[in-house]
Amino acid sequence: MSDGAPVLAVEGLRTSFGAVRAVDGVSFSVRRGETLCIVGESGSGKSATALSIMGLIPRAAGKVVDGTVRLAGRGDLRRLDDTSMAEVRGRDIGMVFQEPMSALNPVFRIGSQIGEPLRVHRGLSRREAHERAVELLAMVGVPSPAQRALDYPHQLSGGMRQRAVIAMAIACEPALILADEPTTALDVTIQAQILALFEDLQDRLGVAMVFITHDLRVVAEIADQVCVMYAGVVVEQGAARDVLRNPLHPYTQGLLGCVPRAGAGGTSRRLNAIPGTVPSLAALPQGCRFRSRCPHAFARCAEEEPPLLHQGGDGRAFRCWLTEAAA
Amino acid sequence: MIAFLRFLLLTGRWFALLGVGVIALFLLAAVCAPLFFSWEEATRVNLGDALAAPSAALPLGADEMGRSMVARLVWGARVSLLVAGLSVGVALIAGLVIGGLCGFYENRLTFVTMRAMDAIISFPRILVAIMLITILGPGIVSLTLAIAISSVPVFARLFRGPVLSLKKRDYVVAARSLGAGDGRLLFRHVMPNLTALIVVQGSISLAEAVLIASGLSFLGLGPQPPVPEWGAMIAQSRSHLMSTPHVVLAPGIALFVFVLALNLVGDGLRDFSDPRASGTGGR
Repeated sequence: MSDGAPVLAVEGLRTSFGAVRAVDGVSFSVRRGETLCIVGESGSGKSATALSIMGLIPRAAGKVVDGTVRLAGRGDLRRLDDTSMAEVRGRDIGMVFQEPMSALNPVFRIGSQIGEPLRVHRGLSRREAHERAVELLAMVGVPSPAQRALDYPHQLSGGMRQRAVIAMAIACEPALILADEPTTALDVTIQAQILALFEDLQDRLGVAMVFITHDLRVVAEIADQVCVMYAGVVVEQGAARDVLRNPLHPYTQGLLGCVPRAGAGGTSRRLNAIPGTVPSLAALPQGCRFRSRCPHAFARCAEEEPPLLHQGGDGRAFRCWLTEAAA
Repeated sequence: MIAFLRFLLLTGRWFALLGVGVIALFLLAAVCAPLFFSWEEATRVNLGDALAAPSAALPLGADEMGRSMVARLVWGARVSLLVAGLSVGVALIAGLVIGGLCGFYENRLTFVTMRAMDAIISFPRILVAIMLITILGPGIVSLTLAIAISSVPVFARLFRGPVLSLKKRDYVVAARSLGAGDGRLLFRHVMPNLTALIVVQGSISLAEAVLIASGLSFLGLGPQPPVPEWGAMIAQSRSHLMSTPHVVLAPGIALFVFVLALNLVGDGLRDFSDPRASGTGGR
């Protein structure tokens, strides 16, 4: 599915909120037609990574302090001024948010909201934008799109709203879709529909996708590449198939142990849980960030933080002394 | 408008409906004043009819200059509505811009601006208005301006609060993520969410503006004679309160009824825009 140069290449991205390093040296790249999933618990820096890419970290709260965000044809987004960045947003990158209700303005009709990026970036007239919005609604699988375009957000169901938000994101045919937990607020059947829609859109538009989630079933469903984040760093990354089948980092192993499985073997087993919580980013322990929760921690883990160790040439990497010793 | 009337009818808010009716009546009188009475009738001195009692020709009698009270009241409604409407309109727009910008951008400049607004609010509005008229000189234009300027801080403060929270809403971030710039975010995405607040506060401010306008006119700071203005009419005739009370009471009652009606409609609008805010379904 993937070919050519990456659409998005993030290198050594660091974002601080005051003294808190929410994103601490994250690197990854996505190619056309490829889906990268960023997985992690709450507070692992997934959303901060997405906002950093978009340049949407609120100025009063924090800022991107280091790294490059290269978008094909645009260069390093961090070097763009506000006006050029505003042009990139919505035109080259479309973003989908977690809460479809709160991502839609309650006082505007769906159609006018979907048409807005077209009016901003393409200079379409109100009527042209509206016609295009109806087409987009049809494209994301909203039944009777002409009527729905005239509805207000509260008149739509959760799934329909998320489809509308997706229509907004793809309105200008961006090269990259950045989706921040787009299925988390939906119930399971709708989740499956929305995932199918994303896959379908990707096939049709050939976009690159960065998909943020905490749900490994979603990863298994749609990911080509995976980045597992923990406390602001990538602890493991690589091809989705490899990472899911053969996790090399104890955190990834723990996460996979937390996924309930409908028994192929029929045996009911207790769900695993990773003990403890994510350490406070303001007071990270010395050494490995996962040390306090790791069942395999040993002396070296407390002394120095493992670097991202690369294995093979296919982008597989992890941060663990243990696996290094074994490898 | 029709939805509002239907809401008032269905929820039995009869007082608010009465208010709507009264305002409609005053509005009609103000707009059509020239059809009923000529400017001549309202302003020409005719001492033969001075302080005349109500009669068929002069339904509410005449004032101490012999001018028809009805004609003066109707033309006075025009003045009051003009002054109040214009001043509230100007203040609302200025307040929206100042409050909006100060809520949207939190920096030293907007902080100082808001503290300046607070400083103005700490004086009674009528005092601020009197000060401004002292500078501008009395007259209908300076009266309007004075009332507008003295109510800008009220609007600015009122609108800044919601903007502070609205700008952090997901849909504002979402709009930014789709490439909308600051101006578009503030005026297209944040401000339409203030509509209910604007309508409610606008109607209540209108009542206040009518009161302040006639208060200032009473003090001689409004339109100068012979322009009929309710407050000024009361002032001119107040020495006749005991002998011919109708010349004082008529403008007083007109003022009272109009301000009451505006307040009743304001309450109705508040309930309409947020039904949860009202206790019971009216009386």
